[in-house]
Amino acid sequence: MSVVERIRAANAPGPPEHSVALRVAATWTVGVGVAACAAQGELAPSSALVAIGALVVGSVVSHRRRTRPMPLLKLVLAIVAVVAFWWFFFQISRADGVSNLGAVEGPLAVLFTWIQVTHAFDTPARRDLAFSLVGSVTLMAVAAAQALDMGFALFVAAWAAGMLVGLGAMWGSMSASRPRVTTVALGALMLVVVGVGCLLALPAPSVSSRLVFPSTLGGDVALASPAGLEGTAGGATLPVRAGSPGGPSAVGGYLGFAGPLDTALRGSLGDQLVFRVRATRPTFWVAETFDEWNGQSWLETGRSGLQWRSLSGSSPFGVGPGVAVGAGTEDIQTFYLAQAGPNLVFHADVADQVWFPAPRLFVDRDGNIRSGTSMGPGSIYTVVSSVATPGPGALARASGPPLDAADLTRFTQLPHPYPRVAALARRITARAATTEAKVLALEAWMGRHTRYTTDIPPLPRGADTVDEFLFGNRRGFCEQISTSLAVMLRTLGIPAREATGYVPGQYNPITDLYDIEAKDAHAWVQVWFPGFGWQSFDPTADVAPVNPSPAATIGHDVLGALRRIPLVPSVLVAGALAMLAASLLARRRRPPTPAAAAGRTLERAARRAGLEPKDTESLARIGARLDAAVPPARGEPSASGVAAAAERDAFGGPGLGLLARAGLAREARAVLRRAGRRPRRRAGARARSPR
Amino acid sequence: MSPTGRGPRPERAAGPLAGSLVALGLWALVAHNSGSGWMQALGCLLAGFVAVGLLGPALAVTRVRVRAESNPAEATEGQPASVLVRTSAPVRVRVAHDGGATAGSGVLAIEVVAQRRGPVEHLDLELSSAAPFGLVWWRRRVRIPLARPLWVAPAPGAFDPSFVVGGAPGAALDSPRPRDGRVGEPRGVRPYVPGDPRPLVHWPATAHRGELMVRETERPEAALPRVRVALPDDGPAGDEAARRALGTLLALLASGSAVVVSTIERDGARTGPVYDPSDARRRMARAVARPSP
Repeated sequence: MSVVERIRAANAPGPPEHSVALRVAATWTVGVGVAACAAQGELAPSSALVAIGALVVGSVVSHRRRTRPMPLLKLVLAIVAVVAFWWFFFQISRADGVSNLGAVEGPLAVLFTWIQVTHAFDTPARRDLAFSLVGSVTLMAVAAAQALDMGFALFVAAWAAGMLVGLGAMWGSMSASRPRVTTVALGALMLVVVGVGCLLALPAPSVSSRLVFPSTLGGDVALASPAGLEGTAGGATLPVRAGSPGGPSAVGGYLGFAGPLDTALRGSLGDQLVFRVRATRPTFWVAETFDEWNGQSWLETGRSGLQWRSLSGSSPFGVGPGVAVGAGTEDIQTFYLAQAGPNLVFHADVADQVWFPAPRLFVDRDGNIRSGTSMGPGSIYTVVSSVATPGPGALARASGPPLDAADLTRFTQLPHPYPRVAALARRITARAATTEAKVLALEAWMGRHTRYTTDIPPLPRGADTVDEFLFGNRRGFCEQISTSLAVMLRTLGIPAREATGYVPGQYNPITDLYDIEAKDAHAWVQVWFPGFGWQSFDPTADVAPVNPSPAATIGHDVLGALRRIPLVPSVLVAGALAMLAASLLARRRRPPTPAAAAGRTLERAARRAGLEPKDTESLARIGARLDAAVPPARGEPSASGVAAAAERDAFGGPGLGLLARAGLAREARAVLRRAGRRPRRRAGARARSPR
Repeated sequence: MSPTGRGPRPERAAGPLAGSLVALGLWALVAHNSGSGWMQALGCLLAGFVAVGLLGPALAVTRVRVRAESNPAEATEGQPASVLVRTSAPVRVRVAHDGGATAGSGVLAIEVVAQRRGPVEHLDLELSSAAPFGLVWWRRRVRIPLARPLWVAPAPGAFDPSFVVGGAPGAALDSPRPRDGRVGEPRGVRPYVPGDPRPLVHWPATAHRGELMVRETERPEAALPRVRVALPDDGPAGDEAARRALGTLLALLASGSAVVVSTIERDGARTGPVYDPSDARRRMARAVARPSP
């Protein structure tokens, strides 16, 4: 066979496909793919609606014309496909190139959509419908690449259901019979097992390439004083307030994202989603660091704005190390904001580069970054940080250029000598030789001797937070615990500063994102180590060193989700589903005709009367045996009469009317009841016989 | 009865398998390095579809049960005979080493073409399933017992006078007008049975009895031509001889005469009159070279 003949044979139209289920499933899966792309912003909603409408029309046309192909239509469709490809290449040639995936994905989704829509008009055969099913995978893939939240699971579930029905129908069509629901259900079960198994076995996805990072602003508002700290959950232009728990202080009610950090106050933090982070590793997402401690609040000495460095231009902004830092590893984080927030640019450790969709950024000498605009929901930015990751014992041997005198003074500053605190710190670290050992000893002591709680009375006016905490009841929240550690370190002459931001939050292995909620707001301590720069220590909580395994995370999430399921609605839904299933089962078992129902009732009556009906026995014969065994009383219907009526209805011409059928069922039930009375009569007879 | 046979084997699965593995591998690579968890989850779902679609048919075809529901008792070699088989699940059924296939579930009619004369008690079938997703077919060979033995008659060969014993076979064949095999000395009337020639209907007796009656005639066996069939063996040579013997018998029957046939069957020698082609085929289907010990 020549190559041309082979190609012709491969392209020969298959036999027309008559399965409506397969056609509907193919249309459904492609439609779900289009809707998923639209939901992820890859397609305009109007385009998606038009595409879905065209898909349905195309499927109907294909089905009606499946036995009569239209050569002219094929020509038109080919031209449309060529135009779609031409449009696609034109679009990506205008973009930055294929390295900018964001610029390619949109046109790609449009191309896939219109190819599928075009194809829908010419799907006469099974192979064409199979192509539609497979093509829907590409649409789902484009949408999945952009999906950030678990809401995408709805699209996946709808698409998977369509695929299941479509493939099951394809099997039925190939086997020239109706597909068995139980077999397809068993296949679905195996599919879930294999899919979940793969998900658990595969390592979590990670960003390993340096493409153009996504960045966009949503609902941004230019700020009055760009380098100032502005923008809150209450309004983008509202000033961030310190120490005002009643007012809109910051995202989720956290009071730490302000100029001064008042350690006497703690907002009530909820589980409001603040942002999501795709990151190389979990870490503290730093918002601000503070150097000046006044006994109750932390302050930034450079907050006057004089020490903010302005960065202009476009992404990437070279932030550079604010304070000398040793060589570190690269850590990429992309932040997807879910709430309006202040103009703080979160980052891990020391930020090197920022992909930010605004013309100006501001960086202070400690590496804190602020934008010139507030950021609304949907804002995206990426930070590439340099992370110094010391190995075991490396911090103990830390060596390198020390802080300069001015910085050393700043980061060991205390408002007063703290003699009791200093004595306590010296006593705790008496056996510690290195800075790291001293920090760890103090952390361990705090873990043993302090308790975390947010339920404490406000500090008296003028009282020192650290004195009150360490020599009072030793109960407090993270700001007080971390501040106490920082002050104890400073009394020992170790440079330390307070940092606020968020802990990693809950890792979602499906989206590969850390979901940061308001309650993840946190304060911790950063300690200076020569050669490694600022290292974070959290006396309040530990942080996982690596991405948790998907299996452990999913198990934890499932347990958590089960605990959160409301009992009463769940029971109601489960009950409704059980009733529905029972109803469907009963409908399947229900006899198809009133005559069959009457026949079945007579058979039950025979069994009840101890007369097992035989396979070869006619209904009339069963009725006769029943009447002989349990004779009808005067006025009662006879089993023979019921049998005769049933047989007449089934085989005797026009059949019974509606009322007669109801009467037949009633009489059959009467025979059944009479058959049930028989044993009691016998028992009564035996009981009476001795008399 | 549960069928026995070889284990399941895939049909042309190398292409789909290799394609799926490459596609899933690339997908996993892209999904993992793109950092998109939903891509990875979707890939896992696809892997599930592919795994179940590729391997599910093996399980399905292993579990499917098939039995012969009914079959004719007689057939002719090289001619199709319809056998009804009942399957417990949707499958494609093909007679092994044969062409056509039938797909479906429940009771399926399959065309069986016997290649050799003699009894057929088993049927070798090839069951194929693509359950549950129709991605690939897996097949399994099974041997099922027939509902009853199928006796396959030889295809009729040429007339061979060497099978005719004594007399002048040519005289019977050269008879100027064919005679009905049952025409002879009248013996009486009997009720009509399907297949009786219409001229044999005895109308007065029919009117008398109220049901269709036919004349029954006979003539002495001694007057009938005799055919002795001695097969050289039970192999191809024997089959060829049986074809010629059947051709001879049919020619004699077509001349209007019943034939007394002597054959050897499994349980010994058998001699008896043959009145019609069906009898002749039946006798030739059962003829063997020598009886079973």
